[in-house]
Amino acid sequence: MPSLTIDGRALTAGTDQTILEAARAAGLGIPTLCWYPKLPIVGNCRICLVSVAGEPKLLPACATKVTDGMQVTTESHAAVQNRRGVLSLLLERYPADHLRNGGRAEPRNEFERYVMQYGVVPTPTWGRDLPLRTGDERPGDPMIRHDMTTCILCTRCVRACEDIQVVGVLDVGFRGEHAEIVVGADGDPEKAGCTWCGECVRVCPTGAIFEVMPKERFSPQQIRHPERVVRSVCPYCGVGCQVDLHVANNTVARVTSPDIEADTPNQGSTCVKGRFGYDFPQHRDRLTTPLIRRGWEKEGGCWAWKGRRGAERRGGPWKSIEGEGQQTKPGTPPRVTGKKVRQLPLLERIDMDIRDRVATPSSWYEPFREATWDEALELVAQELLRIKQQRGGDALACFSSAKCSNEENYLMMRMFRGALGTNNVDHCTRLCHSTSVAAMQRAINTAAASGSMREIEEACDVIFIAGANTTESHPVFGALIKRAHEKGATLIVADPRRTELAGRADIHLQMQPGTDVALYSAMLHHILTQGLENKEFITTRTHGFEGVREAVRAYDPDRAAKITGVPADTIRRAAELYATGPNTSTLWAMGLTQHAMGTDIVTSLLNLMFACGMIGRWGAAMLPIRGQNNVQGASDVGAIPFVYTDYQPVTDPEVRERFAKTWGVSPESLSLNKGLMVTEVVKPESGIRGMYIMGENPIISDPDIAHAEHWFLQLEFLAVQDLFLTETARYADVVLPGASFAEKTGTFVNTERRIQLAKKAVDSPGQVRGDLEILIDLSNRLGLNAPFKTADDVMREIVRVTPSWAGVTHARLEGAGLQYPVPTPDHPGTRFLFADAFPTADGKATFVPVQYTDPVELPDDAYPFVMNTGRQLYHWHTGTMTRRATGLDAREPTPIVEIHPADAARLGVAEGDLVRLTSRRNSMVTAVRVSDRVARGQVFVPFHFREAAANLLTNPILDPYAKMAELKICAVRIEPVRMPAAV
Amino acid sequence: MGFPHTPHPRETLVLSKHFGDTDARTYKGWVKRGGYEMLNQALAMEPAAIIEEVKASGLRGRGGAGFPTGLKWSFMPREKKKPHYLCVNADESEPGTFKDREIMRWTPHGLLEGTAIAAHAIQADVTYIYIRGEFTEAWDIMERALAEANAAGVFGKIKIYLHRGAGAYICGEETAMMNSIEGKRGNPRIKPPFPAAAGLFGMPTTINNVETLAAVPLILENGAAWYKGLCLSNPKSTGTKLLSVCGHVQKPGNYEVTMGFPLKDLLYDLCGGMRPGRTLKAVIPGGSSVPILNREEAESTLLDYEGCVEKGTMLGSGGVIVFDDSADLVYQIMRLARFYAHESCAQCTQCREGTAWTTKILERILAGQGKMADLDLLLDLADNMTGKTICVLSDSCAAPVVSGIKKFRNEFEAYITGNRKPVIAA
Repeated sequence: MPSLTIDGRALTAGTDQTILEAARAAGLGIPTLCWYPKLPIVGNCRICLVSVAGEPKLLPACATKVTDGMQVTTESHAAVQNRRGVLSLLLERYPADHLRNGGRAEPRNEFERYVMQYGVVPTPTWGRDLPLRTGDERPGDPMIRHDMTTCILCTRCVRACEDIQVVGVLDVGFRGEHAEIVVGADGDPEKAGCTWCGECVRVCPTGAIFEVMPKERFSPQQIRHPERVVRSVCPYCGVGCQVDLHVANNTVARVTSPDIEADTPNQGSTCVKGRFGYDFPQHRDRLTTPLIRRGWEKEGGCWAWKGRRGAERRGGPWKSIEGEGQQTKPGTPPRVTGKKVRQLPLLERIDMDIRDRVATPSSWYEPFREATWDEALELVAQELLRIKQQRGGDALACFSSAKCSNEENYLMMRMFRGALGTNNVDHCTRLCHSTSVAAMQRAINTAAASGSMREIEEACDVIFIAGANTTESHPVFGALIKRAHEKGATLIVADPRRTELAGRADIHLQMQPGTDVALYSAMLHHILTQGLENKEFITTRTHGFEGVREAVRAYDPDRAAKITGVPADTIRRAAELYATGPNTSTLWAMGLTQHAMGTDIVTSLLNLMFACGMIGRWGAAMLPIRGQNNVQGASDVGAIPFVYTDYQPVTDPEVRERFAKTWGVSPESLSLNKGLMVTEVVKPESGIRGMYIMGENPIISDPDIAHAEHWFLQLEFLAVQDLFLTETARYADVVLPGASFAEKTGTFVNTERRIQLAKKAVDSPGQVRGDLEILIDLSNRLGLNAPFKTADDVMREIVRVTPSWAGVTHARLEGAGLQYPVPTPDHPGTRFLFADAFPTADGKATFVPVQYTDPVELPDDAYPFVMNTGRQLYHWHTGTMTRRATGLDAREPTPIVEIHPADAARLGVAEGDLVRLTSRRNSMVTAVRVSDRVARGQVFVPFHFREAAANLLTNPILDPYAKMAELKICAVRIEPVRMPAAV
Repeated sequence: MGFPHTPHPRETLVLSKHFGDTDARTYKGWVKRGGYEMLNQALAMEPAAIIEEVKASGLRGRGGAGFPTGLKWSFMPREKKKPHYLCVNADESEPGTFKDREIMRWTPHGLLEGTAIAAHAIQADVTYIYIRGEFTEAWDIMERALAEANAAGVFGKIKIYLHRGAGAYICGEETAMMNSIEGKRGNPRIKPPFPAAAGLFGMPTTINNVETLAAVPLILENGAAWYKGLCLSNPKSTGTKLLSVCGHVQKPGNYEVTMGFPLKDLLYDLCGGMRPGRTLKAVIPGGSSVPILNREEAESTLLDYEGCVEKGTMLGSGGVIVFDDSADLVYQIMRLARFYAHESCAQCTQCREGTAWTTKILERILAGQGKMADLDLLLDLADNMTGKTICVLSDSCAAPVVSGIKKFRNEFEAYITGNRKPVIAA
């Protein structure tokens, strides 16, 4: 431990620390411009030079390691002269006339603060020898633009792009005085692979790279001095990035990410959705009052339906999703990137057209009238109780929401179980990781990831990713994986599509869709023949291995090569890398789970993992990457049909007793029967007559939409709680306006079991109430005492009935949050699980032998293509939020289908042409995007778009265990559609 | 084509012995002249023994800095844990310097032999010879020579590759060169880590100049004592130095002299003196990056590392630029500054902005729009640019400006006061 003095203060620094780090640790400031935490040190701004006794020259504090006995003076005469020199040189090419007013100017950024601090006065711009700096500007960009006159070439953005996000769009072009920041090779960020993550915006010390949207909507004063900055959790994916919401004028003015050194799951990064997808709560479509369907009237203290009966009872003056799917659309305009926009005179017209179709059409509101909260809640309570009375509680069902907080989900399931006596409580986990949960429960009785995201970067040697397009669906985690890969970890990707990660992977196992079981079994087969399995782990930590040994015997790599289309040698090489690790982490997502045999697929992957012992160490993690920002939490607090919180089974009378006592109801009023799952509910045979849907949009997200839409029409009563009049909400009897993520306080659990606190930043518009408040009110109206005021109150009850959360309080969640299990109030949380034992009866994992079966729907002559569905970088699920977020929607405004160039040529279609996709269930029209990311014979359709809903075509057949639908594979036919005469 | 001049009797022909002899360029011709014998012997020697021999010879880096070569080699890890690299700096771009070009043109095998010996001494697996992109003829000759030598299998396990520069002066800076070889932008790296610890591809690396390595076989052949004996002045500077003389002398060209040779004799004897009717005004003795000497200083300078430092300049790369009384030094200094502004890699603030600003001010002065305050501004800028940046490019730009203003201030003032006509348009 070297000891040194800085400015006369004696310090002890860590070995390998730089002078700057030692000074910062001691609370001493040294000015820096090019230095930024965690970015590679280049030492090029030269402003941090300090005097060190015995050194002839000034030394850069950021790059000089401390040595024992070093004497540093940070503000020596020479150092200060140098700083003034650097600042005046930079100012010579910086538009800073406002700083010439005798010290009255307000510094606008980090750089100008130093200018003021060191008292440097710029020369007037008219008398200068050097021109203002230039650079690539991104004109017309919807989210990020540049004002390169204020660039000081610190190259933070270049390094952030290259080393944090591992994209490499920005670089320094040219030399000498002509050096400038360039975007890609020709200024087009799209071609350069920009993901619009905004990391460059975050690191820029002068605001040369800035966000467009706040500047268009708020004054510089409002942006620079927000009313408050509130820590929240990003409302999109399961990475659970913490974000800071800047509030101006009671709206979210901009979003920034926390300090890069803060211990947050995102380590200071965000993706495009987190940073730029925040303006949907202010969209004009936002519901501000409760709506009641016209026809409901109050008579003698009781609500009665006076409207039309029969099939038209719930209809409206709109096209069904099926009908919208048949419509032709303008082809895809080029995505908005800047230069292209200018070259496209018609864009504005096309854009208007698109916007009209995206926003809620005014006709959708016609069947509704505005109502008071009292009326709306009274009607909901009356109808739910009536159906319970007339048909029993099991005729009711609710869809809770993975977008809502733990507290809200808990109240929802508490209300349905406690007041209505049914376990028909589920949420979109059913269409997400239900098969993973089923497989993991069967094998090791757990339902969450075993490790943490950051261990991939810190300790993992081999990263095995199956069916996860991480860089688009979980971009911040994707960047972390890319960083790990850059640092030397081996990356193996199993995916039918050539995603970004697959493109950069060391091995890409590009198998035929749905042949996963054969692939993983063949890998295990090869591992066993080579004797690479972890014998100790198998004997001491598992049982049932012989069954699996038997089961994989049939899958030698050569046979698997015929099934999967992956060369046998590639399978062998991947297997060897996987088994020899030493630390292999296994990641998977929807590509594995959204199959009718999803449970088997995940099981075969788990078998591979257990056989190699790749779990229970720091660096060997099992990470099913969760989709929604709280899909983990919603399941943890019991919003699934067969368990209460902490996965305590509803069928256990003892558990029931405990919950009945906590809730103050009689045990008999709680059902002992497992409830129906999402995919089972939306079936004629389910017997569901009344529904309550909170923040979900099943009419877009469920398979075979045409049938689902018809089913919703038949309901006796439907209440929907949402921000907008969604495609589902338009069939509702009552629509309750809920609060957006920025308008409420609550906790969320991310994919690594981290419980985090999101705080209220702004007030809700109009009469909108927080979801928590709505549920408390409704619970009380339904006769279930809900003695809560705040989310904190609810959390106190949750932790009483949730052993693994026992030590959680809102106060403890400040900062990084806690990774459960947190059994005691002083427990620090758990970074990884299963070091010694699994949470099964005997502490051992169970191998479950599985066999490969062909996917249910294979392509044939009539339907020659395999259609895969999934997400895009710029959109989220059913598009309710992202299609109302200006920047995001500008990037991906229209529905598309990705087709391989060879297939496109054969069909005679080009980029932007319209095609009709027809499956055995339905058909729809969408536009072509030619892309070699998909293999020949396969097409990819994102499911965000109402006007060409992928789920019109998907197959509603279900997984036998988890009731997951076959969302990833269906056979389709593609025909070109001729556009009507020019737009 | 022959070598431009017949050797002068006062030259000491060591490296330039075979200059002008086309037969020495071929493998057969080189072997006939005793070439590659030293390599064979060296490959049988312990690496440490070679390093000791080179240390004893007093050989110092000929690229400009004059760092003792044997000492540099001894910084490489003794116990090899990672791959070692040797880079040969043949990116000779310093204005006024053209000695490495001649070595490559005439004795390519001498360079290859020295390279291979050095590679063996530092246990390098792979060697890159980074040749300036504009040296097309030298490139062709080196390529042919390397192919011949490889065909003859003289290098054993040592792999030598030629790498062609793309025209950036800064890539002659050793760390920028490593970045360039790695395929990155040629920006100098911050030191430490020094190349011997983490250089090319993060591995221990040594970078040597062409002239340095070309001397190595001769040192092994004739012994360290012989080389050490080649010294006319300070015993710290040994051996011979190729001096590239250009500018206002009768016979410009490459002259090889023993260290400590008087500059005056070089100019007036070897190079035939000034043009008729002209007198000496100034000399830049070590390539464009070093301070300018006025006539009195130049005529008393001894050409070795210490002798130049004594006069406030440096031996540098040995590019002697001579100005007679017809030269406009303000213009010449502007040309130098413009060169550095053009070649700045643009990393460090002082260099990127300082070189450009210096050029603009000098141009303004030459256009008759200068102010007296500009001279102070130039000195202020030069102070800002000296000793503060990652590499020394910005110092190199400042050096002629500072020495020029100090020694020839009247010429600057003549432009500013209007006593001289503007020579460039505003």
